[in-house]
Amino acid sequence: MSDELLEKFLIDTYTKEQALRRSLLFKEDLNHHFFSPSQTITNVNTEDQSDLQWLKNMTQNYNQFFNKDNFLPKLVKLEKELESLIILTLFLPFTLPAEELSSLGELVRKKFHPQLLLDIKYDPSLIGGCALAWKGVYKDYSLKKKLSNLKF
Amino acid sequence: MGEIGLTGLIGLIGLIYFKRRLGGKESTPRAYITLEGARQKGLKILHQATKLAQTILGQAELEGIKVVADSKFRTKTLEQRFEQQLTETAARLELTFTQETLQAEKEFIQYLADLKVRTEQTQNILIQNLEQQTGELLKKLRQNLTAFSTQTQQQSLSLADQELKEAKKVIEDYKRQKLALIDEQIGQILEKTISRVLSKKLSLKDQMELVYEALEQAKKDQLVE
Repeated sequence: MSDELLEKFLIDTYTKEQALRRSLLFKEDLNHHFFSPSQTITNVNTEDQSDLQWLKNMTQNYNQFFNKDNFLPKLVKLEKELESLIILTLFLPFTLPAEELSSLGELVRKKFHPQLLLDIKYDPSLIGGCALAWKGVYKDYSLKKKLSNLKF
Repeated sequence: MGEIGLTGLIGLIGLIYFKRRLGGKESTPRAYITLEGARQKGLKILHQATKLAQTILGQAELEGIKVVADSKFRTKTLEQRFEQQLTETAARLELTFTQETLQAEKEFIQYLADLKVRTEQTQNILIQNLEQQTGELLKKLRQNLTAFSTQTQQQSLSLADQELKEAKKVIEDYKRQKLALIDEQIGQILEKTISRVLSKKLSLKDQMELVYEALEQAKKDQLVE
């Protein structure tokens, strides 16, 4: 059940930042669901439409996974599981639009690991391509590196 | 003299004894006559002894005077002889001394003359030796100077040559470093220029393609395991 919940959580959640934000939204919404049912998810504090859409998908499974007594412990467990997920740091020379994030996220999970989270950082000096950091190891695959290797 | 004195003394003592003996006791006429006789004899003896003593004294005086005169005479004679001898000896000594002195002077003059000759000879020899040594020294000096000058010249040339080589090397190194620096700077300028151009010219699609290529390469490199 816990794995299923995590899987559902990770649908359309590709970055560490998203996971953290959505975890807080999820917690808030669950509280409302069980203790203030009159309030809807539109009262949740977010402007991101993708977050809202994600939350809508999650609420469909509330009764499957939660009740008044177990939702808090399950949330705590879920948070711990989210913390233990593997993270690939990606350095990009441009700001990644939301529409490209999903494709990139899916690609990365197919290539490397199905429950991998991305930590995207902005580095304009790379010019093009990207650089990666995995478990403390940094590798530069950017255009900048290629240009410096040319040795004019 | 001593015997006379002794005799006189004995007689006198006897006289005194008999006088006291006779004076102390009641003397008889016989004893008195005997004593008187003895006294008279004693007086005679004394008188004779005195006379004898005087005679002897006189003789002794005479003898003494004789001896003194004799000794004075002898002393005087000796003095005269001594003086004479002394004079003679002094004269002899003076003569000898004068002769010796003259002889010594002659010999000394001769010695000086010989010394002068020898000194001149030695001087000549020394001058010759000195000239010879000076000549040899000068010759050696000339040779050493020549050798030193040649050596110095060679060393100078060698040093100059070495310095020239080092200077060339320094120049070459400097040139190489500068060229490398210029190359690096050109590379940096090019890099910056390209990065500026590309970052403006690359579209989102191009960027995403590059990212996917990078991820593909990372997969091949097995970076993420």
